[in-house]
Amino acid sequence: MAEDKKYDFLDLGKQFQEMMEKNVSAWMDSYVSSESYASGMGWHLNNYLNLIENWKKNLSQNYNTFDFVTKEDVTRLAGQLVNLENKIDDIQTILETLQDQMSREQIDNSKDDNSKEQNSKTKGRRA
Amino acid sequence: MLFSLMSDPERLVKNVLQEAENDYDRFKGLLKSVYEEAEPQTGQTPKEVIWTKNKAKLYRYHPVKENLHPTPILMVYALINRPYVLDLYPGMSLVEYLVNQGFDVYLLDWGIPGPEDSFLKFDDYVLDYLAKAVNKVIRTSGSDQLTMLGYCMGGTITCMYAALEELNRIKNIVLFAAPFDCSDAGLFSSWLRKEYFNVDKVVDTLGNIPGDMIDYGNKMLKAMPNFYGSYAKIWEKMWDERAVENWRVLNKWVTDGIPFAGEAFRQWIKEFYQENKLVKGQLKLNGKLVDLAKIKCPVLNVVAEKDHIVLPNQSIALGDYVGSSNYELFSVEAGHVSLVVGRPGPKILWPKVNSWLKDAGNKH
Repeated sequence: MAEDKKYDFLDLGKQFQEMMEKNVSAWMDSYVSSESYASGMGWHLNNYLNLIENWKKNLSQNYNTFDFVTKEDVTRLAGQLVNLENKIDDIQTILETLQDQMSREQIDNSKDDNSKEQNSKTKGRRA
Repeated sequence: MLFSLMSDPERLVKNVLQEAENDYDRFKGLLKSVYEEAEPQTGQTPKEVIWTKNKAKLYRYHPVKENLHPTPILMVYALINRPYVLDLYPGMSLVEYLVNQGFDVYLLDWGIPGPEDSFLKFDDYVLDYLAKAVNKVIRTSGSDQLTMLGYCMGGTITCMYAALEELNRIKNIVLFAAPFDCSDAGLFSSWLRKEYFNVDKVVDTLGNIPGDMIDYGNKMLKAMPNFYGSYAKIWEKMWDERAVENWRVLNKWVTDGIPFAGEAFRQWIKEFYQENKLVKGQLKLNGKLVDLAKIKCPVLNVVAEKDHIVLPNQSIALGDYVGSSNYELFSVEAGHVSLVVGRPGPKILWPKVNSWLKDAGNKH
């Protein structure tokens, strides 16, 4: 096996590849930690956002001109549906709370009844 | 060395042929996994939806034991990425493990926010969605208290909820790699500075933040291993079916990012990363101050030592602020994801959670 290792021609290539990976990785790590990367990313992001903003504005204007439904219209409608669902959800929560309260009261009442019954029984025995 | 190689051409040819054969197998495996195989199955532990709100769903996993542990577990994951990482595939699923240990397990899936949900804030997620999910778990299980298990941002959300919860319904808290102190968040602290990252413009322009954008940010933290290393590794193991299958499942999860609701993102960046309000005791949700000192229940805080997304110091800091007298910090030599679904998951983390919940977590 040791002989095999000695003659592994392709191992040289692999070692070189690993070394390159390590070096590129170290360079990348130092680059993304640098101030220039952070500011560069901020600059690119800002430009990208400007582009998107203008694109959205133009698209919306065009849709409005042709009286088409815009994304904002659909979003507004979906938002109303979500609000409606939230209201139903709130009612459901109130109903569940009431149900819990009622079942708790029922348990308390049955406990009271039991203790009253026991009290009257002990009184009867004493009499 | 080259001379000696030339002197043994037979071995050289053998080696080259062997390598060519391996490359052919790799290429065949690659084609098969890209074009032939269906998307890997995830989240296979049997479950049912017991509550929904907007896009959020609360799952209850079917118990396999008759005598369940009296305290149910509610798992809370981050708002980004999908929660099925906790139930990746049979054998690599924390959910499956805990169910088999006799726990009554619930998982809150926040769902995928649409453009109409861009107004959602942490106030909504914590005090409305999570609060209602907790109610549902309590009602369904019949228990008075529950254990909350939060992973990553889900841990932060869990602690915010626990700090504001007034009904004493939380028995224990288990946290995995959850960020609290953002004063030193590594590269994120540098990238997300106000002068470079205008979060208001990002949210006002994009609404919800695309999952790809979040994924890109996370991957750039370790660019080479994430963009190249993971593919290089699988290329090496392309003929190992099990390794390929594991890689495909994890890769499905990694690339399955979901949008971050716009207003919640604004809050996350501004109030957590830029202003560090949570540990300063200045964070307010619906006008209520989030005071971590109000968390009095037992806490198991698990930290991933090699985590580059949530640095260990960000999680460890919780110990200085939490009000619990039963607080345990548990460190695992793992990364942010491998903590739960890597080798350390089933070997170290899961048994630790199980034993802590059955023992230390129940001592008051």
